[in-house]
Amino acid sequence: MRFKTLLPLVLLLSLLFSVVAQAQDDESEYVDECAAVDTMETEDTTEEMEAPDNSDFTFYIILPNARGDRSFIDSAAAGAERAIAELGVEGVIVETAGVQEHDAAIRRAVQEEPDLVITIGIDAAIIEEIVDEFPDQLFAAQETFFPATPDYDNLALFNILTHENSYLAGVAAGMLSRTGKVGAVGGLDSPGINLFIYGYEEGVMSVCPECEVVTSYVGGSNPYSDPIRGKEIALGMFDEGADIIYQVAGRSGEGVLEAASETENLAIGVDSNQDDLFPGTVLVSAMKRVDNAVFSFIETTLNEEFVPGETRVGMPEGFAGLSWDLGICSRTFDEYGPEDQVEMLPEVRMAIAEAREAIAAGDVVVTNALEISE
Amino acid sequence: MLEWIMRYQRLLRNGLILVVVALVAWMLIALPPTVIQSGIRFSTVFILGSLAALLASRAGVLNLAIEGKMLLGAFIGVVVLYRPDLPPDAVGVNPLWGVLAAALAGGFLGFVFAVLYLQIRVNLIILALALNLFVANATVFFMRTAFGVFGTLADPSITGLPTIEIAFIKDIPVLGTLFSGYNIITYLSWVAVAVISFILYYTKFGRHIRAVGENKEAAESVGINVTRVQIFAMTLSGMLAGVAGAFLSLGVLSQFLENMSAGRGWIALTVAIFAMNRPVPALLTSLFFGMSESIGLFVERQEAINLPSNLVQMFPQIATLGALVLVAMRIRWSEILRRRTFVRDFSAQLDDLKQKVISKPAAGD
Repeated sequence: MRFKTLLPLVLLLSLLFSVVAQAQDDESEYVDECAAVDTMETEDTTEEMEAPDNSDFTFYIILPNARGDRSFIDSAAAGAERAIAELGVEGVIVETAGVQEHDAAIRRAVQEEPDLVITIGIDAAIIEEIVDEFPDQLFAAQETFFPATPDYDNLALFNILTHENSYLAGVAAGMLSRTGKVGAVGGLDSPGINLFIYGYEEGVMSVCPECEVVTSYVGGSNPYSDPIRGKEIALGMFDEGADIIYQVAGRSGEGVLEAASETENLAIGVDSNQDDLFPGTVLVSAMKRVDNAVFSFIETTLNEEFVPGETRVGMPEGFAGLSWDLGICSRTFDEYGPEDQVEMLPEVRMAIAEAREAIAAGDVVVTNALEISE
Repeated sequence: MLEWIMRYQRLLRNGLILVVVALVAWMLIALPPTVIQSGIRFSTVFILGSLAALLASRAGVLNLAIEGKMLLGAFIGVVVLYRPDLPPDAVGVNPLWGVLAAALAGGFLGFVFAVLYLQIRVNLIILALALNLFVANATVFFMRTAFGVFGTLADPSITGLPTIEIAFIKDIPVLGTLFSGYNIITYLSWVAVAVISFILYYTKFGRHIRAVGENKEAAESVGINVTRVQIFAMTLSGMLAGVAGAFLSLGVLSQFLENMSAGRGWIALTVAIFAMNRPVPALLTSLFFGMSESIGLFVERQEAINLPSNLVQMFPQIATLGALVLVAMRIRWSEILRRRTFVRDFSAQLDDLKQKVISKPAAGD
């Protein structure tokens, strides 16, 4: 009831606000799209409708590890939860404890004969074997990089490429670094991780050719869940003069973020929006919209538009981006970050917008680590 | 070869010690202080963990549940401090309470472990593995049900342990990096080495522990209450492992993450075996493990060296393997040498005797 009376007021205010914002921006050249969009979104949320009843559609989603990385896996789970809530479908989220359980978990899901089995980041060999064995079951594999695209009628592959948004994060890091030295901490020295890191390096170099980028990998027996090693690596890098570190190391990355917060340096988050984990420390997050990918998969299958084969999407399709972009519009750093760097943000966002256009136009080609390895 | 080793045995040993000392001194001067400090932080967990392992081994119980106790300590330490409804400017609970709670939790688990093993006679290895699995999953379960979070328990109200700068010492170049700038648990771990050594070698309780570990039946026959000694030792061992866990969640980080011990309990177990269950060698071995980990990370991020990361990350394992081979060779060679010496001395005596026996009748003639 209250929403309805407030709605016209909100709309009016938003209109006013966006006009004001537009007027201001004309002077500074940079248009902060978020200021306008924020208010538009209130419109959408107030008109939220009841979820349709599609409870005869069921899906299983197999996660490669337990939830709680506040990054990649949580993002996938969030997409599944959104599908359950908004599309009214029935879904089961299966968390596994590691690679040893993947095969059994998928087979267990297939036993239930759901309409769709989604796998997230599971090894290609496991998927191929099961897909081959159950031709009547629809599978959707996300973030699985096959050596050669397999040809099955019941398998859709969906991979998000993150080199281009990592490039944008690199632009931000290169412009905001005070020391001229930035770092990147990956989980393992593998093409999937280097996809992020190479893009980032090129982004840094594009705005700051004399900058130095140090790269290190967590490695060890638990590359993606060892925050202690992550933190020690980051502390070392900061001590050696780096002041911004991009973390691509799952749960180990929590250590990197904490090291940055402790030493009052900056970090760049990955996959999910990590800006709010350490306000003022996390400059921006290079987002991979695994949630949207999961959601769209369920939606297309529900509408009986399942298309087998591989789809590779990235920044142009809106599946990769920055947490500053439309849709998230994180402005946490503007509020809590160090003053001198916050002052530079409009300039940085300009440069990012330019870089984005250049990538879209094909003027800048960011190295794709996956293609190197292939 | 053997003769050569035999001849230069002392020289060889002293030379080796000299090389090691020189290497350590060079490292202390050449490496940046942060690398050394990082190594010491890495080693703290191993020191406490290996003390826990060796205490149990000395009491005759193979303690494979260190990993689980560590994880429980890490979890409880954070849980005690977790106050999500705290106003942002208020001061949270002192992290020392977290450490204390972690020690108690670890001790409790050690006690339960001992009772289950000694009184109910559950199979030792199955019990330990079950305990590890139980803790790993119970922490996740409680995070979800009690706190409604997945995998990570973090909050501004959880403050880590402060680092302690020691006046005077912190300004001295090498000693400063070695002894100043750690949190309380690191210092505690060094004190623990001394205390455990003292307990094991200079107290009645320690003698009882060693007696029980050497030969349970013999200890029992002289009136030592074996069960009680073992329960005490296991509880103490659990407390040490719990504090090691608190070091991970409150000393290094200030949050709990699912399975954050990441196999460090198992490495601690290896350290204890490597050090033949003696506290001071365990300290040195832990430092070796910790330093090789931090040096590995340091070398990896040097652009100038530019080795593949996978190769560099093998370094701690290779160093361990090398050291193991050396230790094994040393044990084997000293055994052979002892045998040879014995044979030589014995045959000399035998010859002597023969001479006397033969020469006696000759003298009688």
